[in-house]
Amino acid sequence: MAEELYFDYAATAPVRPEVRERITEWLDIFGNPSSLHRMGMHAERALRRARDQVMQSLGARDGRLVFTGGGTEANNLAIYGVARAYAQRGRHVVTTAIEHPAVREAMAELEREGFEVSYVHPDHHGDVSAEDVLRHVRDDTILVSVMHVNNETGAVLPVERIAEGLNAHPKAVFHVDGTQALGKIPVSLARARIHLYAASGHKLGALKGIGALYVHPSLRLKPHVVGGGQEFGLRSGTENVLGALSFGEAASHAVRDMDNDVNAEEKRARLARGLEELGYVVIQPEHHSPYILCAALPGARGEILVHAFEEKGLYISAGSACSSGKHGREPSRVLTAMGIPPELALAAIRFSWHPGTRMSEIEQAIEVVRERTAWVKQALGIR
Amino acid sequence: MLYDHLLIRYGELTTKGANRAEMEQLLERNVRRALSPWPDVKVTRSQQRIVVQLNGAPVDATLQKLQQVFGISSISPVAVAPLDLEAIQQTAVEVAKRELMDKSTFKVEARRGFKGFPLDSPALQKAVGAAILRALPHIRVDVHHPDVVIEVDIRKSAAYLYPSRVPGLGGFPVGMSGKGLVLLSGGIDSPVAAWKAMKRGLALELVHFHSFPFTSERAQQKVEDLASILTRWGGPMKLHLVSVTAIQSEIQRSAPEGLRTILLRRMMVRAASRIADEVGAGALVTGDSLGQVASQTLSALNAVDRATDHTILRPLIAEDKLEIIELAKRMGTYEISILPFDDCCSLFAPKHPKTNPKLSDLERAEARMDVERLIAEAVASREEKLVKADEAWDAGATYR
Repeated sequence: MAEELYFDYAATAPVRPEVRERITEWLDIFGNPSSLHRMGMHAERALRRARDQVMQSLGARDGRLVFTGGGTEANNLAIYGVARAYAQRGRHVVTTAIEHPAVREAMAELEREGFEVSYVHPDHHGDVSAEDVLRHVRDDTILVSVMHVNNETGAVLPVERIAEGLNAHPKAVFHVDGTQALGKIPVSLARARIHLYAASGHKLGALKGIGALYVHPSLRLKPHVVGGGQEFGLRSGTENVLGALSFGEAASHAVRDMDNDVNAEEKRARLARGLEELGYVVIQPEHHSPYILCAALPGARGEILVHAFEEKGLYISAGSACSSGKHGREPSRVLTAMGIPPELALAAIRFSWHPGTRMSEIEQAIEVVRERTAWVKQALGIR
Repeated sequence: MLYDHLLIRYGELTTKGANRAEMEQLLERNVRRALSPWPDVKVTRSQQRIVVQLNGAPVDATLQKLQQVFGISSISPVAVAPLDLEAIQQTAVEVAKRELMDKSTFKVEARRGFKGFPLDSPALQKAVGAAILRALPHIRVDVHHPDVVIEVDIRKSAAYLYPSRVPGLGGFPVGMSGKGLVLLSGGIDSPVAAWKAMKRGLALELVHFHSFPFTSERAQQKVEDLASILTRWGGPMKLHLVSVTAIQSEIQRSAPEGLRTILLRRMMVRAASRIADEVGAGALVTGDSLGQVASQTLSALNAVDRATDHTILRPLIAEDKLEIIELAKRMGTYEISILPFDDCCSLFAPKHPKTNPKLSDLERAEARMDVERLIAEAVASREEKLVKADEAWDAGATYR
């Protein structure tokens, strides 16, 4: 087998070397941050430093950063937290039709509880316009929740413009699911009126099982994990200090690497061109992350390509890792929401990489795709 | 420990004439293998019984293991007493105390395999019953419908006392009927077929056909997990993993759509026959059940039979799907079988498979393919794995 080409960073990233190096040292910070003695204080200090690092990488100036058990939990806390705390203000929520299940399922739960949820649809490239989002906002809207970067198409949503527009709706809390954004595109919470911003550690090279929710100082949330009152009372339970330290460190380095990746767009364009030349339909949102690319081979099925490529050491996803594999045959909701026919949606694959990926690796990936696609086409009788 | 022995009886096996000794040896070996997790256990055979001396091994766990050994009709946990009336009585009282805790009636059944013992069977029954009544005044004798029967078996070396018989699986010892090669698909049926084949004494090897990358590696893992469950009854067994990707793609290219499924089945059976010859298997075993799917009509089954010289055993041919599912659930394979990973391979499956394929049509289609080369290559490039029991699962095995 050739060298391993990991193009599934949107699913999860390998632990960053800077994190790996320091893990054993961090293991000695074992005190409970809530303990009164010196060991506890030592852990609390380390935790505060990690919190600062994540805050900085989000470009946040004030507010709180709540560590959670991951991105899903952070999104859940945001959505349920707002719905529970502000239900008396109104029972209307705006979101998009392309959200990750961590948001989509929480919205479905709100609907069962009697909230009204408006879903904003993307155009056929996968772009969502700020105007469309704002048009749905009403006087009784208490929450607007959109993702920053779509996990399947890489579409970047105009969160700054939405935030700006929401100035006219002071009762609406603005939540952004930034799981695929941090470390991939610039995030600046100081610049935009974003009340809640969710992030996940393992997507940028921290350990798994750590996430974070930025909470604006003006906001009061109702927690759904209660107990000892840790994390400002918003997420009880003894802190995952090791996870938090890995998150802080990984976030700092990821943002720095992203800033240094000057030819990111060029690499993405090269991959897109390579795939198009091989007969793939490439999904091209106008505003996109430079690290996610979705394409489909008409007549094939995504999972077949995943397996065909892996034989040559190239790892990708069919659609998104979260929706592929488990239930098999259902086409991606994101792609069908864009108006892509189910047959083509089932054929979709996702390449996702990171700022450290070199152009030569992009070329190698294209080479694997070229060879394996020819083979699959022949086996399936695709012309 | 009161019960320090297990007594194993073997039903149908005792009706065998000439080669019974050999069969008993085989069963003894299978019992030893089943009890291999407890190295201190001693297994001996005498007078159409296998006696397990537990030497500290737990009764429940060993019993459970033996309930997965084909060829056993029943098992009893046994207390042993020296050949002395008082000692026998004392042990009987211990057994009664333990077994009659929440019950009220009993009887004693004595048998004198060793005629040198001074009391005859009725006298021994009386003496032992009296001792129990003395020790446990609240209980009664009921010779017709006792809650508990305490059996006393007098042997040359000792007296065996046992309160119950736990049913065994029946059938024949695995290996008695030779070897079969199972076409294991990952679905619900084929593991059940394998189980039934083992029950009639077949030792098994397994072959699984996959078409990676058109099937998932998880589908393969699933088959290995199923195989691992089958080892509970059959011991470690070999799994042959054969890729039919090239075969499928050749069929796709050159054959009419409606015939593809049967053509693939014929190719699989040919490949399985080669492997069966190599490993000395006398039959192929499949999970076919008449009428279940398009490839299980009489003419389709016949078309598959014609592709091989081997006997194809189809233990499920007359079973209903619901019966198969029920057995799969009891075996513990059902939950794995229903995991949603394709086997070979929905992508190639014709929309309208022919239910009555003509042999001449099949042969004409095959004439356009290099059948010999395709089969030879698939068989030669197969991967072989030795599948062993998964201890974690093993602990949870329940089927009797």
